[in-house]
Amino acid sequence: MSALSGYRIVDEPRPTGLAAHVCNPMWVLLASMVAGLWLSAPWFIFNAFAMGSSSRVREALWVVAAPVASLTLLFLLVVARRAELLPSWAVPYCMVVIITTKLGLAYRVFQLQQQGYALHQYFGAPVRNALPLVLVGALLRPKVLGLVDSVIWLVLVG
Amino acid sequence: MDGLGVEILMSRAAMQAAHGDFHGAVRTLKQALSEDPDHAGAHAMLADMLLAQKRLHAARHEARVALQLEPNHPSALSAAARVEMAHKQLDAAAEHLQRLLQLQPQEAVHHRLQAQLCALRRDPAGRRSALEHALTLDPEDEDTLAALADEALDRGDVSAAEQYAQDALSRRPDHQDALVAMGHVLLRRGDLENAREHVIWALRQNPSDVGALHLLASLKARENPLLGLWWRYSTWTNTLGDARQMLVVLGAFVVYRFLDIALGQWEMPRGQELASFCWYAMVAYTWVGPVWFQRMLAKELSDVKLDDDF
Repeated sequence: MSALSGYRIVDEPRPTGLAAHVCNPMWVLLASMVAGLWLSAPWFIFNAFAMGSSSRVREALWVVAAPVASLTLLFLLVVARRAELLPSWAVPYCMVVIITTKLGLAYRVFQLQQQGYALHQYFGAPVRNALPLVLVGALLRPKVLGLVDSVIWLVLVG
Repeated sequence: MDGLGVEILMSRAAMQAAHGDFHGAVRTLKQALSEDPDHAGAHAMLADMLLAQKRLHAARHEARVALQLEPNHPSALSAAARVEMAHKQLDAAAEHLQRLLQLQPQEAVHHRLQAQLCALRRDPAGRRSALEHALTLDPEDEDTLAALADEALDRGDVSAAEQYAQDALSRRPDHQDALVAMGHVLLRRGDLENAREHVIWALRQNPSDVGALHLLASLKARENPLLGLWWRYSTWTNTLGDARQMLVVLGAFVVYRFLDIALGQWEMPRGQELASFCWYAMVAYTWVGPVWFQRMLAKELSDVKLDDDF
């Protein structure tokens, strides 16, 4: 047995004491769609570190990139609008670009985390059903988004 | 344990891999590497096993370690070429393969690898020539015959494919790839029942054989057009790689949202409803499709009985 634990393959997860609370990243991706970044961002990071994914730092960086990218795009949108470079009818299309960027980043984290999750399952570690949390997140979404009356807040956590 | 012990463990791992037990093979190789962490051959073999498990990042790491330990180790070069092909780094793969062919030009297996590289480079002539060269080096090699059958299928020559597959099966009736190739021949001829028998035969020996599972999925898709559509979509997206897959999904979302907004601005509520219906139908279909498909395959595989020596 000692011989088996002697050699470690680089992508093998290093599970922590929180490994029992790991869930399928698909639920987290779903949470990013139906609840928002306020739930999915910390959840993605928690999942990555709890399962000891070999790409956990990279995953965390992609998660952090989502609000940064959203705010940057929002800033550019406001500047373009004030400079009258953008007609009012084009604003909804630009908002779609912001949403798509956030979804794209969430999807990227999901893809990265899926590999670690597959190995987590492969080594027989426990997995939680996260559907209830996704549903609670979806129900809480209006309250969380209504906490601050600001577009920046909406873009940041929505 | 001495060097001989590592060799024994590697033989055991090879046997496990031959029966599709890659999990066991990886465990055995980890044991071997715990005894001798500088064994290039064991690292190379581990790279191949990890590749079979689709653990591409780890496979590349192991292949690189093997090459660092012994830059001219044939197994290390072969594993590195395979790994780079899986990563779609075809120039790097070609470099390793060139060195390998310089070291061992008479090995048919290396020419088969060259044929795989040509296939990825969409060079059918190169692929065929590499396989024919492999066959001249070893005319009795069932693996080469099965690969030639596969190549003939890809260029649409079903008769040639049948001939090669039969040749391989006459030499070894339980040859996995030849059984799968023959299954494809039968599928193309519309003989679904015999094709299914071949695939079940192949899966009885190795239930994790990707080619056999692929053929079984094609058979199920042929039986059910709605699933067939999903299977084709899934096969297509799988060839794209992670980044492009993401672009396809997000691209579809952007098209839907832009259309929805534009139709709203043009005051066309029926059009908006139709666009939304199409979008949600696609989402539901791609969500349910894999689950449905997996269940059908699992049901089919529940009839697969393993050979006694599995």
